[in-house]
Amino acid sequence: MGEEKEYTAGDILKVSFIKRLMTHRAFQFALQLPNFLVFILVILTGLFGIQYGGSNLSTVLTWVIWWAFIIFTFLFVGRLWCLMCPMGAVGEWVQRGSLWGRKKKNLSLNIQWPRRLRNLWVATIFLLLITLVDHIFGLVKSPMYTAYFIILIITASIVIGLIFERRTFCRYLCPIGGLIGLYSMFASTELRIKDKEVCKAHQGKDCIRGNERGYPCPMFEFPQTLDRNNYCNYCAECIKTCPKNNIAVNIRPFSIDLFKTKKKYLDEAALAVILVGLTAFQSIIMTTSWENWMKAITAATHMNENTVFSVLFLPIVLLPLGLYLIISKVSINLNENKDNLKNVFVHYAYAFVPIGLTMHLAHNIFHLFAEGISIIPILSDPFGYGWNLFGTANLNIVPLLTLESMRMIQMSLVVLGYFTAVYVGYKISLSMSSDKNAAFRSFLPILLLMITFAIINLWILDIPMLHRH
Amino acid sequence: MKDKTIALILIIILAIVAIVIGATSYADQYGYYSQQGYGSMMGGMGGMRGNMMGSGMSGGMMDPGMIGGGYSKDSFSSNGERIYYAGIDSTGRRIGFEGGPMWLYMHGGSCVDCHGTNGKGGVPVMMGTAIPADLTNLFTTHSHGDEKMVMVSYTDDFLKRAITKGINANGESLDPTMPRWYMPEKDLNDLITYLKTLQTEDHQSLEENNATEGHTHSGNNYEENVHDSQTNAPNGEPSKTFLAAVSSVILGSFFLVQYLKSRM
Repeated sequence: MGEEKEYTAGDILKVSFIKRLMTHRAFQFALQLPNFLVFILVILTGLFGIQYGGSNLSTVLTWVIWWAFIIFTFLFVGRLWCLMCPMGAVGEWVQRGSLWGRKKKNLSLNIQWPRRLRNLWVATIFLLLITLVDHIFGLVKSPMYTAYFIILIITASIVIGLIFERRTFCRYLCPIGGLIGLYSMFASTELRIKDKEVCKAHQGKDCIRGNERGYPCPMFEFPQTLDRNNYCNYCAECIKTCPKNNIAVNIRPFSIDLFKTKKKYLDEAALAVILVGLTAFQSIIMTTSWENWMKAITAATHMNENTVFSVLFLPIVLLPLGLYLIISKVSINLNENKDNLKNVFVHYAYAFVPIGLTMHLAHNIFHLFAEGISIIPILSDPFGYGWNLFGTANLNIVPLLTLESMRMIQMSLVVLGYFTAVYVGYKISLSMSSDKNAAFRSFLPILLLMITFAIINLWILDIPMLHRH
Repeated sequence: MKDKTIALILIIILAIVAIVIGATSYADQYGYYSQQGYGSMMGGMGGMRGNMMGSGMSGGMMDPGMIGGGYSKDSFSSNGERIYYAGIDSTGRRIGFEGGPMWLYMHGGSCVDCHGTNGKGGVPVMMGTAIPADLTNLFTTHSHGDEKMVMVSYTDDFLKRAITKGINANGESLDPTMPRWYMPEKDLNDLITYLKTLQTEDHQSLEENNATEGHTHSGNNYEENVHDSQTNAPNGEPSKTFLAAVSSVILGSFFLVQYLKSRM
């Protein structure tokens, strides 16, 4: 008999149609191809279309629709986007020399990624760098820069794929890979083994070695020990290769991984708290107040806006991390079990994921429901040449939600994120100490920091915003 | 069992939030929020929905009493007038812009929404951080605002720069409330031709009078309306939603701590 799960989970692979679909070799390619074609269109419109972000398909589709929407998918289906991401796909196609077929040999040098870099530090630096570059050079406003950016990512994916084994780029270098992984821990779906004993008894380990039916896990995961969503992209190779039919894709309660997993790391913990700062920062720079502060600082310092922005960027984004470090120390002092700082810092950090995630979602509500609707006229004229392909180019568009409704949804999300964070933090505190009173004392300062972050986020959302896209 | 209890509490909170959102969205649809928060500067949310974008968009954007009444116009005597009223160019396309207040992105709009049908401006705009300028005295050197700052006369080139790059005749950057418009040369010329029709014949003598009386051109208009702006307080004061959300975080935390303490 298999072990009993600590939470209710239903396996969607019990539906034979879904199982047949996911075990078909062309399953992933069928999802990648349409996205690949759309990204080609995005590159073409970016390079050759009107160079005004608000009227060009590349900028609106990439930054207003795609980037805003996929954050919502992480909430429910984890890294499902990575399954169909055309940027990672091209690297993999070139590496394998095949679009979907199983080939024994590939074109890569198959070098292993350096052990010291097998973490999220590089990806986190890329994420911060891209955010900074965006604000200085106006990446999200420029169709041409957007096209160059996508070309750059695809090129990197191909080059890394030809040198290093499997999906090294997606696992260790993709700028949003770490963010997606952490948000996916919140998701209400998971890919897991059904019975640990079956895996233990099976010597073949086809899931990590591959067989004639499929490749070894491209994301370097070992399904037998998989207890969180961070790096699984549902490519279904393990479902294809498992001779014991021991893989399940479960629907489950939200946020389970954040406190159930035994695998917790410093790089992920740091990113979890950085995301609280980054999502708040991305929202505050869109407010009218930010414009006024920037004006005052530039006038007082006689520095230009980009210099001021660059100087302020890291301190503001990393401020929550600094505060959290101090609070972790306070937490240890209040708890008498003499836990070490790194342990407390790493464990509780995962409780901040819902705060960053819900602020990110709240931020994107504006992009999707206020700006996103502009995609309808743009679809008729993707290059901005004055076309009217579908008769919608001059359509009068009514926004989907009013400002007040959007603000209520945003704030509700932040409040829900806060309460989820408290629940996760509470569960983590119990897992860290056998003495319940000590666990409560250790959690109290963390709770106060969570309240602070939640109120700051609500305050930011209450300030009138100027759109930048 | 413990997990199930907490999960149940979270589900109840979620259900309450969903009901509140549903109820407010329904209320929004019928304009019940017309006098609250940002809505106070508008002619009501219900009115706003009807005329968001396109040539008729300016009809419902703001309270008709704010700047010269409603802006609905079915026909235009020139391309410049169409741009000024509707933000639509001669090919019927919406003119692009950057910056500006958020409602401009959401609901559309053009020059008239801030500067008014007579071009006098002077009325604080929703979510704006500056008072819209008076466009009826562009071609004379005049004092500007309460600070008695001297604004040099615009030339056509200076005006094009102000519209597209947001730099005024003195070479200073305009407030981000003024959008930076992406407009082809022909449309710019047409708009400037229209702006010239808004210039008051007696602005020079009016300027002199204002200087001696200690006013600026838009002074009366500004003072009349600043009161409305303060009473409605579109910026600066926390919204009811914010206060409700913060209360739920603080009160919820209090009860949650009590609950967790009892479980531990």
